[in-house]
Amino acid sequence: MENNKGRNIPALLQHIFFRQKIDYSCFYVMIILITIGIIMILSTSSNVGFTNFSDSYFFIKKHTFFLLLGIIFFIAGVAIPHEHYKKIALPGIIFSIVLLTLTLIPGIGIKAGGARRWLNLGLVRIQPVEIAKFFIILFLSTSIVNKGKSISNFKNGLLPILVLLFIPLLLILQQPDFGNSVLIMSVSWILLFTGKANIYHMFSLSSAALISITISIMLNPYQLDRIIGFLSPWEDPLGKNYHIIQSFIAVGSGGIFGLGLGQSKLKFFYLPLQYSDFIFSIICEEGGFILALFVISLYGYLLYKGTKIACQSESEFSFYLGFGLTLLLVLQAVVNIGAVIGFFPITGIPLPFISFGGTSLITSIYYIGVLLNISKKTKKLRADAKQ
Amino acid sequence: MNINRARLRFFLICFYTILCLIVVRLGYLQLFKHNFFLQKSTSQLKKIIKLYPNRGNVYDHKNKPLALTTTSYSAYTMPSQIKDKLEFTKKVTSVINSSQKDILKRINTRSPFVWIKRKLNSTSYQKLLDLNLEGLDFIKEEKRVYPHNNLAADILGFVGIDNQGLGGLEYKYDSLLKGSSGKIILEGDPRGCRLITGSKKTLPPNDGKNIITTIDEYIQYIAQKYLKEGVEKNQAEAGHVIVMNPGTGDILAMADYPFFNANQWSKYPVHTRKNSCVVDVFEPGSVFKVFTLAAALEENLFSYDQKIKVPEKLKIGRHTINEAHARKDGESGIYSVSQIIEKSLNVGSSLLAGQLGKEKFYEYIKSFGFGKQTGIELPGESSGLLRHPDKWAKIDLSMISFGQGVACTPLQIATAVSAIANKGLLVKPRIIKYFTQETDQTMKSIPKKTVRRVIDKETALKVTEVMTNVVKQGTAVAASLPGYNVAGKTGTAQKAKKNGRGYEHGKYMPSFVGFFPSYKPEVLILVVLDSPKKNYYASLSACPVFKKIALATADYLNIAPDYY
Repeated sequence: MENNKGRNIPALLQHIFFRQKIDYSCFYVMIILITIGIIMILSTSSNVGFTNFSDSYFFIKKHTFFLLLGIIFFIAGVAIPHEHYKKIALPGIIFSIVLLTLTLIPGIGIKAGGARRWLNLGLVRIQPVEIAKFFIILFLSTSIVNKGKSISNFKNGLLPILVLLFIPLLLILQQPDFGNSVLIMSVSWILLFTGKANIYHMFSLSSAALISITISIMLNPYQLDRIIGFLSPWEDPLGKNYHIIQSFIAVGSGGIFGLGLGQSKLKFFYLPLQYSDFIFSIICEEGGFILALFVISLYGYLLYKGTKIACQSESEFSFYLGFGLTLLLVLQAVVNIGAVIGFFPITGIPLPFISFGGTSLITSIYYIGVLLNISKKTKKLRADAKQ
Repeated sequence: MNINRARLRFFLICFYTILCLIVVRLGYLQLFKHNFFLQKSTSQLKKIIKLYPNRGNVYDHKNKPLALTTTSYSAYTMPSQIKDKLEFTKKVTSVINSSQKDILKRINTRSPFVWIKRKLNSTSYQKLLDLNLEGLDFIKEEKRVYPHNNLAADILGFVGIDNQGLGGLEYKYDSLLKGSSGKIILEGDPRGCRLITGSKKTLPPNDGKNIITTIDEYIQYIAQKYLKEGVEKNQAEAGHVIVMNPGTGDILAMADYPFFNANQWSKYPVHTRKNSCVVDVFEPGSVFKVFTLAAALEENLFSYDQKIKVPEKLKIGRHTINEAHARKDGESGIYSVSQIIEKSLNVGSSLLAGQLGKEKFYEYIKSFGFGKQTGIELPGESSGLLRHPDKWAKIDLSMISFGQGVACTPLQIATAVSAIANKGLLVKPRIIKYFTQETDQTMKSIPKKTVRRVIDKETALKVTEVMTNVVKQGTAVAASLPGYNVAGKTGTAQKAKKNGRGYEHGKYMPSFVGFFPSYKPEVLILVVLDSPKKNYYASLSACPVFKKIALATADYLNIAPDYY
């Protein structure tokens, strides 16, 4: 970045995107997924928009706004050398804790659908958990690197990391946001697992996670309902399990080639949140098995590429950050898709890049930007090595 | 780098396995179970809206409406939407005629839909509309209306709250009047709205058919007016009138007092709502003598002016036949056959029947249509009571010859007499001329039907002459009309007990049946009064009713007089 000082902005952009070799494959994957997302949001949200806000384009307008914001974040992600993030790992996690605490305060925190997940910032609402996710990954990456070999020592290595990890996790569970808690726990677990943590410690951690999940379920009976419904969806097809059954019908009626774009029937209020949580059901209905397979392959490819970029990076920190962000994206996709086809309970995790959603969309785009930045460094390093 | 590649690889394998499982699951849902889910999707999308047909109308033979349908509004509520049930009830009961307790009870329910009042009249509807009550809503419904209230109500019948025919023509031709409902099949969302992209298929309803009856609105009115007057004047329990065209069998009017208002049928007892003219039987009495005479003349046993000796009393076995009126002093016992009928002599008709014998007499009665339904297009017709001669006691032949021990409906009498008026040809009575489509095209007509020849033309003319004499100089002088030859016969039957054993003391069924002009008859009128407290002789009770109806009808139909 030091080299860039004194250049004008177009030259800077040119430098960022063209002069240095960047692995663009993740970027292309993201563009395809966002395109599919725009088409699907147009198809699924127009009726809700028209019914609730007298504007068929209500959702796509907002989505476009978030996409434009996303471009700024993307450029920032690509431009800011990711090594710099190390410095803000600790302040970042404290910032996340503050944000998550704010959701609990009435007035600032918005309660919707029985959960306090949003912060009201006047014009926009943000979901602090999406921001917290990035900082938690960052914090973990930094900590694993800093602890080095001492991570296999529980008292001095793992425990301090876990303590700082559990504070935001508890706050997220408090909202309650069961899906994101499990997601963060899973990503953390995998990062620590690949980070040479002691395998016995990891299993103790898993038990602890199971206990906290059980407690969360006991505290929120609606989660229990969802899990029971997930296990036997045909038992109450018009009651508790209505949504998952409707999702099956959408997915199943698509067949191989689907009903055609815009031809979904279930999007007319049979499925709830057909433009976010259940958007994959409509993809299956309109695009059939072919489109569904294509979307899944894209996420699969993203995992492959992201892991590769991480592995080829020059530092351990880059690896954990790149791998962590890749995991976060792909795991969200798996949880979302798995939920609408009945593999997992429905948790309200959006499908990255495709689902309508503000904070989630912007942060996802940002992650790709950071990944691209990590790949940039890699190429530069290789070029140096060659010379 | 200090990363554990083996652990990373292990994790990646797990992850891609999960992705593969997801694909397998998708394949199962989308390829293997595709038809199952497609069918589920189609069936939950399919919404059917029922389209109700309009009920057909009933008209008189000049296309004047007797039963119509109009739109009316029914008030209903979804109790969950009512905020203050007490207030709601108070406001509603201020308009409609229901107790607050009743309405409160009805809306205090978990049922999602409750009728407040169905088929409101226009003023109550307007008032309820003006209340602008939350939770109160209206549905447009079809309401059956009988514009003339009790006119021809026995013929038309009535309908239930859902327009289902419950009596008369409404019942008999319910499926025809009702039509068949249509439907719209479309794709809808769970809120019941139609999908913009969905398909729509409309199967229009078939409206009900109209019925054109043979009834004449005016004659029906006349008949009902004078029947009521006659019943009230003679303090009778009930009365029946049939006006028909003897040549065609067309029923021009049929009335059964006490009347009921078909618009408010539920306020009347069941026995009032039935059409006694076709449903109930009575013993016809002396009216029956004309059939005895017709049979005797047809068999050439007597000529109508033949003189025979008629004793005052006739002993058959343990029973004695008496005359209704004691014979005057000095009156000779020799009467012509014609005079037997003119003076309505029971012993005389017994003698005529005696000559005929059981079997032949029975065959003639049967041939006149007794003991069998006439086949008129009205529900619940009785076939009357005519026992087989094998089961007749010795006395029965005589009894039946003057109309006791046999029971028939008023319509059977009218039909049988019309065979005499019609020169011996028995016609099937009809009350429906034709049915029309909703486009007023004739769909199906009920043809005039000659059933059979009962007696020769000459015999019929002779009987007509005797009946004309009855009015001219016999028991029915009260029924004579200025300018017309009227053929008729009175009857004053004893009223049989309901259990069929013997007769009710002091209760009579005076009746008169007549047609005019005698030799080219256009109208036949039957009047029966049930148990009048005054004037139980037909000449004083039934004949005046006949005369009034006949005069008005002759005037209305412009029947040319026989003499001036």
